[in-house]
Amino acid sequence: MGGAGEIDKSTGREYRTRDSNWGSRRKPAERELFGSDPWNLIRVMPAKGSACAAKSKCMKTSAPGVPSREFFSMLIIHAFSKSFNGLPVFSDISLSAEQGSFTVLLGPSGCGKSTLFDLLMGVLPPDGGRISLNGRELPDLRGAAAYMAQKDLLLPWKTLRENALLPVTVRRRPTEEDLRRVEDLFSLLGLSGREDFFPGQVSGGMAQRCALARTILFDAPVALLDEPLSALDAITRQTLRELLLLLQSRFGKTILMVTHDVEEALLLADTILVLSSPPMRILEVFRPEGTKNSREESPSFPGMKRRILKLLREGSR
Amino acid sequence: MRQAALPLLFFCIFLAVWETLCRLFALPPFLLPAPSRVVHVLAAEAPLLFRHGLTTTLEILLGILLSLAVGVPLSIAMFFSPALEKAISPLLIASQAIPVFAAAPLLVVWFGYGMGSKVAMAAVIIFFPVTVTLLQGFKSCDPDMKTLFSVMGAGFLTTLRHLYWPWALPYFFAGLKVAVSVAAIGAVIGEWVGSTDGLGFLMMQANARLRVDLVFASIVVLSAVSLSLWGTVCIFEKNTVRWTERKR
Repeated sequence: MGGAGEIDKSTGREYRTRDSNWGSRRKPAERELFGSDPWNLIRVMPAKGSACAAKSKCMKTSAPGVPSREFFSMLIIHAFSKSFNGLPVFSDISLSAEQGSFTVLLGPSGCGKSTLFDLLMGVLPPDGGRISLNGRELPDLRGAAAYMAQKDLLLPWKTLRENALLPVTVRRRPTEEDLRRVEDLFSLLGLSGREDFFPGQVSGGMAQRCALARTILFDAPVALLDEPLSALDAITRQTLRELLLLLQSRFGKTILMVTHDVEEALLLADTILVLSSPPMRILEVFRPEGTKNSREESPSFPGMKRRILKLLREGSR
Repeated sequence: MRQAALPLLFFCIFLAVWETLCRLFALPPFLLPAPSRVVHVLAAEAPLLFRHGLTTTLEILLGILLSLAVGVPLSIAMFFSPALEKAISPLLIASQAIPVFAAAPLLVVWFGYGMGSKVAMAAVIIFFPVTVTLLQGFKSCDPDMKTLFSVMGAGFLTTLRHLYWPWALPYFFAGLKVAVSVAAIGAVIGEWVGSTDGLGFLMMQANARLRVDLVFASIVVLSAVSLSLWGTVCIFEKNTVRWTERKR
């Protein structure tokens, strides 16, 4: 993986700017937002042993002269509410996700997860409450988060390379370096040699991997994943799961993912928020144990799965 | 090729029956000329037909260009601003209720006997299908795609370039195909009302002189012009909208 260093380097640079700028800028904003009214905030931290936590330590030591990095809330939702035609989809939802964490929202279908995402993306306005996404607030949320959906949403008239580059293209002309990054990403995601294929010419799994590459090229610190694996077959899903984890471990993204697959949630998440059907509430918070590739063997795994399934059944009533 | 064989066969049978009837009943050519006579006239009057055909073709082409120049920006504007669409679309639909023939003499009054009135006439007829189908194409865009572009922070023009326009292209071509087939009607009606040149003018002149064979020859040339324009649009479409053929 010759070019992987490039990506790491650029991600590293991102880290440094974040440290020096936001570390100082974000704190007062957070105080202003939450200092005066204490509320029950669910903190989502990256798992202790996760690659991201290890990496952040290494960043601390390897970047002298830069203020040491500490976790701060990348995504804060406070007292959020939204209703359609007088029917509340959710009211007073609050949560926060630390930088580099993987949060999974698990709920019965139609529980309002997708609406929550629409609000986070700034597509729909909330009725009340505040969002802070990477220090940005409504209505300035555009471009603050990357988005990946169940459908690959690739433009059929553009090649896979052009599709992956789309977040760059809409802002500026792609440079040589951008093209190199795509090349590296494609080799990382097993898409080498498919750069000039069109979405109609590759399998669903490949298309979704290209969508993943596009998500990375958003260069946004937060990634919102809306059931990204639901449309894939079981085997493809397994490979994609590992690649999704790269988003967190290699690119340091803060991830908020919506799914209705309990197993997927248990295998990927640092924190699982189990949601009820509308009006949406957070029923319970789970923190699966163990490193993500050996979780299935962990003794607490089956029990947690049963508990979540039971909650979901009750919540959907 | 095989698809074309059957209609072609029927067309040949049709011509043969027509020819036979004409000869069997010895129909005078000023009533109904036999196909062989039309072919003969086509060859004999080729320079005349070519000159008038060229004028009409030019009118049709300019009419198409004019309607695109007005229809495409208007369609984009209506898509951008729903308020504008609400204000304009009822008028657009109402305008279709006006019989084209009624407008033709007016256009001749305004734009003269020359090419102008015919171009305007063709454009008036084409304008509606082009604008409406394109707008429909823009509106049919996948909302999830729109969300993606909005999340990427793309503005309207960027989204138009990368998403809406390519998305609507198949619709645009569908509208254009309808347009080229009816454009000839506009040009010919314009020529009937008042002109000194063009296939419509030739038809009126020939009809008045009971040269029905020349009328038929003009119709053949006019159909050939329309068909070849249609074919050009099809080739254009095939080369531009390739992605509809790429299936998994």
